[in-house]
Amino acid sequence: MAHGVGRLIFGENPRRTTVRILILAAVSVVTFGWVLIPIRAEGPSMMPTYRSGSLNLVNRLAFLMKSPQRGDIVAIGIAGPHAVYIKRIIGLPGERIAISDGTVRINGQPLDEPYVRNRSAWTMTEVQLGSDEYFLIGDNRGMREEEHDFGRAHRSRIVGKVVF
Amino acid sequence: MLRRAEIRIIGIATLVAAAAVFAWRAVFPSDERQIRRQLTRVAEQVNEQPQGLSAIASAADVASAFADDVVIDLGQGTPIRGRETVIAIVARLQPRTSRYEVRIRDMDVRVDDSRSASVDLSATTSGENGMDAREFQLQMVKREGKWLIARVTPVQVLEK
Repeated sequence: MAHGVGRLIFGENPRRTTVRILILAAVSVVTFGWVLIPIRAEGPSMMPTYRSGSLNLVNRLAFLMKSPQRGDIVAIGIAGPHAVYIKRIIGLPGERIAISDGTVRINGQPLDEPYVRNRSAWTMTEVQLGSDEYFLIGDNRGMREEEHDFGRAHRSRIVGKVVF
Repeated sequence: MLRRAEIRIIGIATLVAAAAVFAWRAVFPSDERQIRRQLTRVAEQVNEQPQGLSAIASAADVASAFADDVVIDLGQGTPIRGRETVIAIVARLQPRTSRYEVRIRDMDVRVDDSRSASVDLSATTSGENGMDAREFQLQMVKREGKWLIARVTPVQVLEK
């Protein structure tokens, strides 16, 4: 009986199956420990794109070959990779960003943001981004401005791209 | 080729050396290790739920991790100055703060010299209203053989 169960689990060639299990475990540890980091969104700032409590994956290799682009949703590290902000990139290095009556302006031109559903009359005076700075903001603009963390962050703060 | 007896001796010697290193580190922890322990202990104490007199004792225990002239700037309102103020605030707020769980994550300790160090850490609070994460920079000083928190300042991850 025990032999039958063992054969059912490990198959005809237990040694090969064990090696496969070990390889699968190693690949999983590397993938979910360093490459695709699972995170849980907390708070309403990215609604409706991501709801509070949703499980997401951050691809840490996304920006190895190319720079972050406008519209990318990224994880921003807070003193390390375990607590992160999830925000959308709206401003790229060197650009001027302002918000007037809830409308984001890039170099003076209004930005089309189809992902924003509710929009309050937020206002921010124009800021000039440095050569390694990005401007990040959540999709939920219906909440109070002072309760929503947004602003400039250095490139080195970007942990990776939220892919799921 | 090594004989079995020699392999056994090498194995035992390795184990003894590892145990000695482990014991040495436990009895004489490095400055970095002492700071990590100290800050982890503070977070654990803040999460306790003492009642009555034990709340005051617990607040004093938490405050013992701070220097007499500590300055805590949380980024909003007036900075908190002095250990006595910390005791009063912790004793008053602990019934409320114990409803939240404070966790310290991603601690980066840099020992500048034998008497000062700086720490970057992210602190998360989770409770009824969800979770919040903040990054802080701490200045630590060593007084009478004990590492104490001398200054706490928030780090703006996203600057406007």
